[in-house]
Amino acid sequence: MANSGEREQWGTRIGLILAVAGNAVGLGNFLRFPVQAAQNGGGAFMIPYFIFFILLGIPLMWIEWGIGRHGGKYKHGSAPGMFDVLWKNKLAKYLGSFGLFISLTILIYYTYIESWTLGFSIFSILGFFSNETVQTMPNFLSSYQGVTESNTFSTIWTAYLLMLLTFSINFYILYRGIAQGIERLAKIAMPLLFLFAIILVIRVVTLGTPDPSLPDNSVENGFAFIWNPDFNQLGNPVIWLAAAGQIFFTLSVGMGTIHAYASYLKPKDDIALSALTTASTNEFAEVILGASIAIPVSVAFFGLDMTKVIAQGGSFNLGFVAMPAIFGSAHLPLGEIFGFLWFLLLFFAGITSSVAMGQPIVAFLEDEFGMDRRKAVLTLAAVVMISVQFVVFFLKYGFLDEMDYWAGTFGLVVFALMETILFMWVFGADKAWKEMNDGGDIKIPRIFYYIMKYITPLILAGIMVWWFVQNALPTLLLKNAAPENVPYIWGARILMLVLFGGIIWLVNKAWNNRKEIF
Amino acid sequence: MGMTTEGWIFLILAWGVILSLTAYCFYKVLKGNNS
Repeated sequence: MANSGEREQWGTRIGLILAVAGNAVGLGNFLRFPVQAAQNGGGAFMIPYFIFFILLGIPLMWIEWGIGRHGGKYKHGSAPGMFDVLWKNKLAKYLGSFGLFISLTILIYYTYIESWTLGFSIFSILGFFSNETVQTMPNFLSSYQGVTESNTFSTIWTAYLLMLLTFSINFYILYRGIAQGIERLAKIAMPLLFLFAIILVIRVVTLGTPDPSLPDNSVENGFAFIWNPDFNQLGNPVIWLAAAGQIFFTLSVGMGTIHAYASYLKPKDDIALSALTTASTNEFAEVILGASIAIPVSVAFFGLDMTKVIAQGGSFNLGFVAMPAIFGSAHLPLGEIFGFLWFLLLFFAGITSSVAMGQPIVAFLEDEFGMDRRKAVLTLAAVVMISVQFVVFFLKYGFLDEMDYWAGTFGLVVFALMETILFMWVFGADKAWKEMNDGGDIKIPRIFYYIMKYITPLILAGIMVWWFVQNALPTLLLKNAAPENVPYIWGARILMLVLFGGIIWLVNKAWNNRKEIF
Repeated sequence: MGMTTEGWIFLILAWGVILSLTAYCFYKVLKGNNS
């Protein structure tokens, strides 16, 4: 049953743009991007990066805003209803279920990681990192996660309480609604995020060479690590796929979240300019701010070779191991405050993304079952709180990684390919083009019609096939899994199947209810 | 090591493109009457 009441609307356009930009700007902008750039050709990485921004990132933003606003006209705020409107076929709503499954699954583990940033910001200001080094920080992190024990943490309960606090904040914001909750959060968190990032960039670039006895350990060499181009790498297809993957992840497309936000637009509200503005805001946060903090400061304190080792350990190591050690260093005056700003910045980046992940399910329950917001948020909270227990307590067995791979990596590209084909081919490129340009404050250049119809789906299919062969197949067959982790990995798969099955059942029930009414 | 000329060119180009695009977008958004 479609909700007979009026749907909520955004209070202001700038609030909407900040909310969607908040959805896109996440931990990846400040941690993943600099590592990817440095590892994949430095400045030369920006060539494929910008090409894919034009061929993949911006088109997908327009497609998702277009699908979302179109679905909103029919009072659908989530992918099953939106796909059903685009394609009059029984299958469509079930394909849309992927949009709910992906955002729900990512919400479960992402919010737990987000709670670590809140915890680390508190630890920073309390001076917990003053005795930590880059060698001791891995144990600090793993003891906080309950994987090992240390002098600071002997149990997981600190992490657990902060997880509860973070989820409570998320659910409260979702309960407050679009204008009073999500939009208000974006209007506070996004300017603060940019302010903190600019303060940190200024601090980093004015560091120079913190230890004059080690002249190679300088901020300039950190920037050089990211920006000096290695043109030889441009011939390597891996670099191009890395750039496509980074563009894909950074804009938070393929999740069903942008659709949900765009569904609260009025039918003639602009989407052409708003989508481009959110994409460019995300790039500003990533390329200008994100690339100017973690890697340059790491090279300045630890040197290039050590930073390479840290970066090879993944972007997570850079954020949660190297950065706290720097902020605790005696060489960085007021390090506690800069550490606090760094982790609070990550927390703001995280929470503006996680509330976006909760919104599709809330909208689905409201729009398709006529639930009030309180009941919808409580239902979501119950499912998430049960599921996250496995993530928290089985973290060391690869439970989170398994969910992240299928929902947060491979699932995104599958869903993005589905929505692009549905919108540009099944619904029809001409109708889709009209939908995206209707009410537009700018006219989308005509060349994007052809890019969205032919090139974007081809690139997505290419990425999907490559990832399937390179990673998905070995991951599915547990090729690199430690034997002791295998039962837990299967547990993660069963949990995901239960979540997906539950969503399919609810979609089926919603459409059956509708049949009875009409 | 230090920044090479090519490194500076890539940094300035990338920053320039993104700053211009962001400034253009926000100029158009703020000029609109429903912001």
